[in-house]
Amino acid sequence: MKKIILAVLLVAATLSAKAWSTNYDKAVLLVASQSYSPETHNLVTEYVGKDHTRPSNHLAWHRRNGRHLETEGWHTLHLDQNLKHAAKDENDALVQIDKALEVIRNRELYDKSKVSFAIQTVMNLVIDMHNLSNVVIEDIPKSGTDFKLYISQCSVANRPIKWFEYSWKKLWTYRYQTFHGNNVYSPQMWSEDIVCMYGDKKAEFSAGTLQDWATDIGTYTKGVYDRLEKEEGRFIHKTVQEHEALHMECLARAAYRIAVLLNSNLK
Amino acid sequence: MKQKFLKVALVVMAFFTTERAMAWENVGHAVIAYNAERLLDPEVKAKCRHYLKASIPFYATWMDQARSIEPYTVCDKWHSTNIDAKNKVVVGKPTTGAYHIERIRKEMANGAYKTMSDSLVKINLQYLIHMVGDHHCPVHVRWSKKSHPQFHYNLLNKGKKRSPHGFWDGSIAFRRGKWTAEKHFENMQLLSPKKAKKIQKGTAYDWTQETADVWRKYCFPAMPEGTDISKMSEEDVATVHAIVDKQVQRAAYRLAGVLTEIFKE
Repeated sequence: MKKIILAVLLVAATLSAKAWSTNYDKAVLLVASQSYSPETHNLVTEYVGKDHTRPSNHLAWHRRNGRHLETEGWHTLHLDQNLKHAAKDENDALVQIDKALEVIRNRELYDKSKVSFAIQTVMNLVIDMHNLSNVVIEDIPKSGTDFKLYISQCSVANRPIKWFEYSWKKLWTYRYQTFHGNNVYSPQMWSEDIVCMYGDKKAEFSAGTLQDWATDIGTYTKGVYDRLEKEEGRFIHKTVQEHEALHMECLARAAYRIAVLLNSNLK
Repeated sequence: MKQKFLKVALVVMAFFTTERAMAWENVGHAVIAYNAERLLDPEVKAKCRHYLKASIPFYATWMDQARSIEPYTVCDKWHSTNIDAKNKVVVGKPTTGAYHIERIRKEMANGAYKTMSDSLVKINLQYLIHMVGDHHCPVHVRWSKKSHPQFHYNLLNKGKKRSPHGFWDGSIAFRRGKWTAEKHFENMQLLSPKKAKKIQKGTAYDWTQETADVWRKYCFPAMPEGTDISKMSEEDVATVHAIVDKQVQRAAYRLAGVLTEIFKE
């Protein structure tokens, strides 16, 4: 009995540490898949399998099974105070994406499992670097940590605002999903919304380098931290709601960028 | 020691599952909007998505999120409609949802939406998507305490008081695990075009009247005061699902009908 409970707790803890909820991750990969060239599509199928959304929690899944424990620190993106990429060591999403892309480009030198791991790592970490709670900015000490803020519940008009403590990580991983009925809203549905909202910005989002993308996500992240500081650590419901567009935009950016990276490196 | 360990484990589990419990009432709206979108012909669906810049289900719960936010506090009372002492729907009252469903339908009818700004069309759609759903929820008819004291009561959940409102709002997902919207759509009985037209007839007042009758004739007798939700048999649950699934079907077909009436050339 104890073993079962501990196993369930372990799974729950692992899920809470993930970058985005599985539904969002899978939605991003569905949108990315729609933008793969025929060649990329075939190679992803060959290396990853028919289900292109399977790698959504690739690294966490390995760690849960006791493998690749060194990947624990790969999910965060490090920026200096000018919002330029500035990793101090290998525990950085962008560093690991670069390494994985190197393997993908030279795939004839590696066995299939290594290339498969690299493709899935790119998918996983490009998604992660677009999650604002994974961005560490040099002069913002709490960035990248799971600190507490206060948010207010949506409630009936003209009633006093009720504040409650909330996790910064959960705000960017789960909160918006709860507005739409959690799991009833499937990855397919999210993917359609991403395309409806930002499909016309595909070319804009796909342009630039990994470093540029790190800076633009850093700019958004800094903006949100500045606002949180101005509002003394409290986001009223209206502010949380306003940020949903940014949350969706980050998902769209991640999707189109995964596609452009795989299309250009799987050629 | 064993009991203490179990208690700690349950507290930790509760922490991880809080979000799911908080959001149940959003499920019904997402399902109705999703089902309605699936019933639309491609031309109407494309027009809805063009104005919304999102799918229809994306805005299913927007009115609940926005009701405490200016300038939308005005719509705080539009989630339900009053029923009078003679069990009849109150017509023409601007603080009711049925009034605004009909107002928006009228304002957008016969191609009039083309004269509106895109943002006005969008906001009107957001209102309709939510309000048509709301007016099929059995607890979104307002019974006065004075005329219908019997409808102001409590259910129980594991012996603790639970409002019928909370129960029926979440009844679509009740004991159904993690059904997705797609699964809910598969569960919905599809109608022939003739039957669909029949169900789509009428005004929001007629639909609200029907919902009020459903409450009086089916919901209230099925879940009388003191019913303990935790002790409901499979048969009781099936009764609840039969009632609520019918309401979901009506709402989805009617929402699809309203959107078609606005956008179909």
